[in-house]
Amino acid sequence: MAKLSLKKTDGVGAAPDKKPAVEAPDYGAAAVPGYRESARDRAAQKEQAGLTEGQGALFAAPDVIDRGPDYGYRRLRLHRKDEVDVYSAQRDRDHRMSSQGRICLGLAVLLVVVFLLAMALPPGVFAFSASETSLATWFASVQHRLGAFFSYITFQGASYSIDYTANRYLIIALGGAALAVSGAVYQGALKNSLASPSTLGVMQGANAGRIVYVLFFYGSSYAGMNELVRASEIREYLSTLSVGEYLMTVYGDSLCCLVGSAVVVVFVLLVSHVSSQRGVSSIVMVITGQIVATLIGAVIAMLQYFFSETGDSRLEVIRSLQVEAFSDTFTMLDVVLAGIPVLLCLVLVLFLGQRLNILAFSEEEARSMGANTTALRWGMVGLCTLLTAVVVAFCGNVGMVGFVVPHVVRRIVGPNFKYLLPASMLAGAVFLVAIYCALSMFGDGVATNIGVFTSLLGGVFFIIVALRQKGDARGAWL
Amino acid sequence: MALGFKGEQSILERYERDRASLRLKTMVALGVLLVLVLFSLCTGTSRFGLLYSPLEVVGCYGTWLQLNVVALIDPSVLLHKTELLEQYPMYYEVIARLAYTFITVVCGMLLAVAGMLYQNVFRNPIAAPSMLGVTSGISFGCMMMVWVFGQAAASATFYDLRFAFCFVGGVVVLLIVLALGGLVSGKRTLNMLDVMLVATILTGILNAVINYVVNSVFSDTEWTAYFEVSNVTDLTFTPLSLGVLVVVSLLCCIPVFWTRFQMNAVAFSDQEMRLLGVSPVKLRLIALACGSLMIVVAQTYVGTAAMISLVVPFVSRGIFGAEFRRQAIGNVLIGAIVLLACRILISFIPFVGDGVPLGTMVSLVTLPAFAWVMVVAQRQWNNN
Repeated sequence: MAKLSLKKTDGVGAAPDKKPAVEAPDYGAAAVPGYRESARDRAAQKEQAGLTEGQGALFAAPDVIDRGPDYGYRRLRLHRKDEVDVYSAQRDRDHRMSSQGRICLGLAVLLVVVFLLAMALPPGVFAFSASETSLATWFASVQHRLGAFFSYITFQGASYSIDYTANRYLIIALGGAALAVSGAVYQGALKNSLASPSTLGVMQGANAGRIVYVLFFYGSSYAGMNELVRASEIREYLSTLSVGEYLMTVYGDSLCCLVGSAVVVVFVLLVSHVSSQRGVSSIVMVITGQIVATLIGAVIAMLQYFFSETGDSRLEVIRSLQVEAFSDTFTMLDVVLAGIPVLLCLVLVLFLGQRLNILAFSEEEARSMGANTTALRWGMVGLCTLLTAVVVAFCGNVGMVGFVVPHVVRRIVGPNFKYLLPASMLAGAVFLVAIYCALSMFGDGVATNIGVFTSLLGGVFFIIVALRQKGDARGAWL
Repeated sequence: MALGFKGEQSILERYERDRASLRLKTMVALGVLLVLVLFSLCTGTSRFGLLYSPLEVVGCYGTWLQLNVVALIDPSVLLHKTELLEQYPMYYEVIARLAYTFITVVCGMLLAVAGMLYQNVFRNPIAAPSMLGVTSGISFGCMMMVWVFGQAAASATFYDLRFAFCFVGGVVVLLIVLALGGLVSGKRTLNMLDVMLVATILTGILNAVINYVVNSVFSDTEWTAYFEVSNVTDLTFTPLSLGVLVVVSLLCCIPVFWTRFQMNAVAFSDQEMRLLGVSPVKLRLIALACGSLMIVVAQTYVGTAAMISLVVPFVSRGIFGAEFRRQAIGNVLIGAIVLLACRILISFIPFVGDGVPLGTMVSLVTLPAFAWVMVVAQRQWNNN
């Protein structure tokens, strides 16, 4: 094989030391267009092309070694300045970051920018309050709030507190990342483009757990302490509790959510495991998940009806639970309790997720390549179920993030999980943080109904991306 | 019928056995349906757990015939109307129950057949319950009705208007889904996966909007009105609505009956279907149009009981076989049986208002049945 190295040969200007063993046939200048016979002509051509000394190495011809007519042709063609050296270009590409990697990096930068912006922007800039009677007063108050923000940014004004904003946005970013990556893993592991984190009934299981908590434990809960109206009294009461009691009081509903999710998922997996002959069938599992989810939704509606007919005060709690997300004040303890499991699982998913590529093959082919498909598939699905359950338990219902974001990201980055997982993680975080920030500018009450807006915007995004890349784009893999 | 080769006898035997077993299954299903219908006709509606004797029920029907049919010939019967009605104090209840049993049976058939059509066309059983977003469209129509009319929307005066809202909602969503799916698929094609994707997204959006409006914007009375409208908890009906149901059911069934042999070809890929002389686009359009119309009509009358469309085709495919006509028979009978059984259970389980909503009861009944089917019978069926 010939040496194709780029070392600066002494070919330019150097005369051959000895005569070759075989007389090289003389092709003449007319045989290969652009070939110059002498080194002087080659140097002149190089100058004409505007190349410097270093780049001339690309165009060095092996005057010394003559390996025959056909071999020399490729090197000879390099004399034309419009020719591309395929091999060195390929080597350059090997060392450069791929385009998908660049997209991931861009998303990471975008996430940092959006996060900082979201934390810094004051909430409720555009909010309508009851005291504003006309559009002019609203506009004036908007200007006032924006003025305070700009004076803060330009280091002129007094600082304003962004007490719990950082915690909240941390949890939102983690939640968005977790949901999006869960969706990507579900779609890959179940090999169905319609799968999402709610496919196995995780979200409805969390809802059911929360409803059970409201039904049976509400009186002793954090929110149910009706008689302790002032926050100071609540804090006083909480400080009298032991650690365990404190955790149960404040995080009791999250715990019930987790238990509910676990029960539902275990049930679904049990049914599909017992019913299949060769391994677990994903169709049975998905259908069972759908049925259980619909059933839980119907039972919750029935319970609401029951409460409304009997005039129970817990109806409002249940109604608000179904719609709201991120409505708590997030303390550092919340961030730690929710964030650490989510972060750990995210890291695990990132590292183990690259092996999901092999599941694109059929079961037999993947096994014959040595992959343990059962462990891989159900391990990843279990990990993502845990992720989703933790997010729903601490944040509430946020729909459609785990379904739409992986689809959109797949159409941009491609179906390779090496890039799909980090990209969907980052894109999900950006998506949720941006939407929450935009909504919180309109006031607190709007931002908690984030589910509607994630669905709307996610759906619109997806349709726009799908329309722009019709037919076989990077992402059409099912 | 002599086939003329060595294994002929065993094939004929197997064929005969197969036909006999199909006949047996159909008879058993018909028998169960008949029993349930008779039981439902005798159930009372004024309170839970009420059962009238069959003689009284037959007497009520006789009275109805006298007052309505015989009166056309001999109007003097109407003079005795008060005495006849006094004889049967449960008259209106029983007649209403007859109409409602009929509606339930027909809607069960429609839901199951629609589910079967969708599963045939899409070859993806996950798509079945969302029904191309039609269910969300119907719920959206109910929500709009409560938005516009307030808590009065649940009253009997708006019963016929409810059909208009739900129907328009369902059809509009379906058209949007098809149009967007067609745009996303590309020029002059309709890729089913893209349509399902668009439908899932639109369903998600609609459900989120409906969830938000119903739970956050509506007052308590409006929430109750929305619940009653979307679950059809009351038992009123009008002759117009019955007539529309019958006409639309027949209209939907005609194309399905016409293509009942060609529908078997969907087991092959598109190219092979064309080689066989079957047009896949035509079958898909028929299945989509008829299935969606059936779903919209059935859910307008009976509320959102979408689980039947998912589970019953699965079950009937296993029991009756995968051939289209057999599947259709199985779906028709089992769908009617399931919905009627749920309706009877509702009349016997005490709850607030008019009882457990039908959709909830269907889900409650379907889940264990599905689990049993999956665990026990799946192994014998050897499908997928």
